Amino acid sequence: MTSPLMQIEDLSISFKIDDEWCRAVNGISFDIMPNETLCIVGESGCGKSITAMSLMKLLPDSAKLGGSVMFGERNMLSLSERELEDVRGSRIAMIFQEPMTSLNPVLTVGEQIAEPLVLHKGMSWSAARREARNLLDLVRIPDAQKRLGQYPHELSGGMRQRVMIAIGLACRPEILIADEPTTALDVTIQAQVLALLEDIRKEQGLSIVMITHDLGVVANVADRVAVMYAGEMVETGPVEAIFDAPSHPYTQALLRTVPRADAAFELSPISGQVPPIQAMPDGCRFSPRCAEEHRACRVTPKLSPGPHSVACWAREGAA
Amino acid sequence: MNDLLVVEGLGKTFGSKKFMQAEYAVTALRDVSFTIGEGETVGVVGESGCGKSTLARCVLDLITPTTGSVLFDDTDLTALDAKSKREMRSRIQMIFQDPYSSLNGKRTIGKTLAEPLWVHEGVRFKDALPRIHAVLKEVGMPISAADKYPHEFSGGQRQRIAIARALILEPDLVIADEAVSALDVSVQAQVLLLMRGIQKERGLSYLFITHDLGVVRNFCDRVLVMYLGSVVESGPVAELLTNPKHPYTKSLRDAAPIPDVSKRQSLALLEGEIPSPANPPSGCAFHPRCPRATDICRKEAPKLEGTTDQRMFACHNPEP
Amino acid sequence: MTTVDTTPPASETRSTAASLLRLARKNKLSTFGLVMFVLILLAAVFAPLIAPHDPLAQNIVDRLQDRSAEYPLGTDKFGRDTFSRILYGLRVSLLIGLTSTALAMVLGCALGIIAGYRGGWIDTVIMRCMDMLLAFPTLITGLFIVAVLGANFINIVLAITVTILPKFARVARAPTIALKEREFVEAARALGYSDTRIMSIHIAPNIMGEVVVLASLWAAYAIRIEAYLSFIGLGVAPPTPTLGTMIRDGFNNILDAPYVSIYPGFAVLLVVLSLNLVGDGLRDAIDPKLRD
Repeated sequence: MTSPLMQIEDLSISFKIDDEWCRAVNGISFDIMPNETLCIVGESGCGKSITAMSLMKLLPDSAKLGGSVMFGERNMLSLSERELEDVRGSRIAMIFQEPMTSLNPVLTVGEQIAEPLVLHKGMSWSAARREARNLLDLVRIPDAQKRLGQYPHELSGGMRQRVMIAIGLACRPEILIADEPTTALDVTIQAQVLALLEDIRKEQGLSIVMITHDLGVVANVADRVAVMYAGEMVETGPVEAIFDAPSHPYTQALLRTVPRADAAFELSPISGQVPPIQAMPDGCRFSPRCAEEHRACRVTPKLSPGPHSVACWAREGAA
Repeated sequence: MNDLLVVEGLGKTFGSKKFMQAEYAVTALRDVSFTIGEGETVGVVGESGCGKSTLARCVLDLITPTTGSVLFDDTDLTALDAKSKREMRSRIQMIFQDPYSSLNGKRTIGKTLAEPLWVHEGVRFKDALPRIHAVLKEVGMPISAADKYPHEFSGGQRQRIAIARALILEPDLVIADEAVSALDVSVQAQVLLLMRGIQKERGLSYLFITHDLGVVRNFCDRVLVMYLGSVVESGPVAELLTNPKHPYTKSLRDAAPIPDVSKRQSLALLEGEIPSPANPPSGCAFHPRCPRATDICRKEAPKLEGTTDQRMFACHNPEP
Repeated sequence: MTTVDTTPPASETRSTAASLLRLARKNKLSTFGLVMFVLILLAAVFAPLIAPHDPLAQNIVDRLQDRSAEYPLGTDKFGRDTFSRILYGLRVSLLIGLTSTALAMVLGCALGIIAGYRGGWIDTVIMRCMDMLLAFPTLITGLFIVAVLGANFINIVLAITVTILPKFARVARAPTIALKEREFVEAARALGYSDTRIMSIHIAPNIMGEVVVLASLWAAYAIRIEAYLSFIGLGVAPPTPTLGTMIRDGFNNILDAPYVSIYPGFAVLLVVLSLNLVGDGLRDAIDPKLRD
């Protein structure tokens, strides 16, 4: 069995809100395997984005971090800012949701792709520009030479996201974190970008951690899935297991709320709403909205062992 | 079924002829015709720049259309004077996409809900309270919400309040512009069910603007598919999605990811990008991206035609 | 879709009152300015109770005196008590300054909101007129109006109003254009509300925060203009004391009795300083970029 590229152990992230520490992420553990697409899926406020940020320790100083993020021999959470800069953008890269705002409007596309190469790989600007051209080819941007000299506002949303991907890939990272990379795009463009990411993962042999709220996207691109709810990981497993045999009541309920383009069925919403971070319920955080009950729901359940694991008392031994 | 709304040949060209400035014209809407029956839900689906939001705003006369007519309950809205138009507006209401910006943050929910009653019916706040409480209950909100401000509510709750505001004047037609797009799926399902329940109770009609085919499939009776300002295909939802005639409809359907691993496929790829409405391609606007395009597509724009009113498409080489 | 922060955009939650509270807690200097301004205001309002002498009573024997127990800030060339005259002068100066600022705020905002909301030629006409007013140095505009219409209370208020009105119009117009695109304004139109209603009830309260900040700063400016106008003899007619006329009156004896001009000058300084401190604090409290 291959060993994981990154091991996240008991990660917790707290923020101070009105003089009280609130746990936005509450002790989650998962692995990132080499050359896989791991999707972290959940609704807003579930902590998926800050989890992704914490993998590079890209959180404000006001956040209190617990647990460990082991990348090789090193714990990302205990690295100095200096050491982190060496890792960020070169061994782990990130792309964001808003291709409109994550590119600098006053620099050309070429300059922005070349910058990490000069910074991390010590390339000369002319060499970096040549490499930038190759990267534009890699992300299938036609007319690469012309595009290099253009500014972000001259590109469409889909093209900008491709440029973001090119910047992310510039230093040939081992892990690419994609935070809702296609949410702002039209469906036909989303399909192109998702296909591109999949091809690149295969060609370059990197791992993609994709943060998304869209279960349709997950079903189409993920190898493994981690479902988060209210700062906790409720279920992880291979994509087939999650969609064909969802185990956690939240995963099951979530799948019944997604309207599908291929069939009409009675949507059954989850009652209530995600609790605010300042007032998380004790024990299982889903219990107030859960249709099932177990006498132990007041105690926080742990993820069961095994490739398809679930954190639910009512599933103990069943998973 | 009687037609509540009949839209005919609606077109909108945004333009500018300013002193010392370059002249420009963008056709956002081109010859759009459709009907909505009483108690019917008609979806409008398409990607950005397809004109679906402009369409909604033209029907409501937030934007004045350049050509065409909007018949609501046999009255031509485009021919009315400003005052009658405002009166008509109490019968057509709109729900917007962003529940964070569609409510005025400086006013309590009660005041926001009372305002339409004051403006249209001259009802004072005190006398409006029973109706405010009733409509809050109808959308599943506690009546205590009336004293609170929008920022005290979550996105889903705000959208319920926005629906309450649309309902309080008892409209016959509600236009929903991406009304559930900004919501999480579990909340989205709540709001969709609420809207359907209200429709059953009140018998109103919806014009439902969205980019999400999944929502269309589960919420609408009929659907218009738009591309670059024109309707390319229309018909009953189930039929249109199972057997699309226009290649764009088919691509759109195949690009929509389905949450089912057994249906996993390389999402059928549509080449290229959506052209700019300021500079549309010749002939059929879709031809540069169309896998079925032939010579005629480059030269001549196809007309929206069909065997019945129910099923129409604009394509020279339709899918089999 | 991201982050833990589920609270809505701050601009919606912050009211003007909340801004004041925030200001008081975070900005000691501005709180000091506010306290100072309130004290000045109280002193002006209760001038008849505080003033030891009649501000108009002449006492030639005691002319041009320095500070003493009898005359806390000395006397002018007619032997009138400077302290009493400053208290009464404050009343006039503050009344003129605050009235004209309030007028300029209301009219300027109305023009700015109409220009921003309507756009098109209305916008062009209103804003070009404002630009024309701005093109003249403010003092010249004021001077011109007073010189043509004559120097009395109403004309001076009018002159100051006109000189600072364009600033309010500009400040109100920009956020109106932004708010016009917000969905709640579109929603109001969709509900069939009239344009007047949308502008006054939905847009105006949303820009008040920024406008109030500006008002406090321009009130200080208005008081200065009043002093200028009085100083060059275009102020309220004597013998009514205003701070500007008092400074000018002292100029004839500036060498042998400088204090006659200096104390009223100092009073102007205190008013302007306190208003500026309040304004700066309000701006910090309201501008999200400068918070924390």
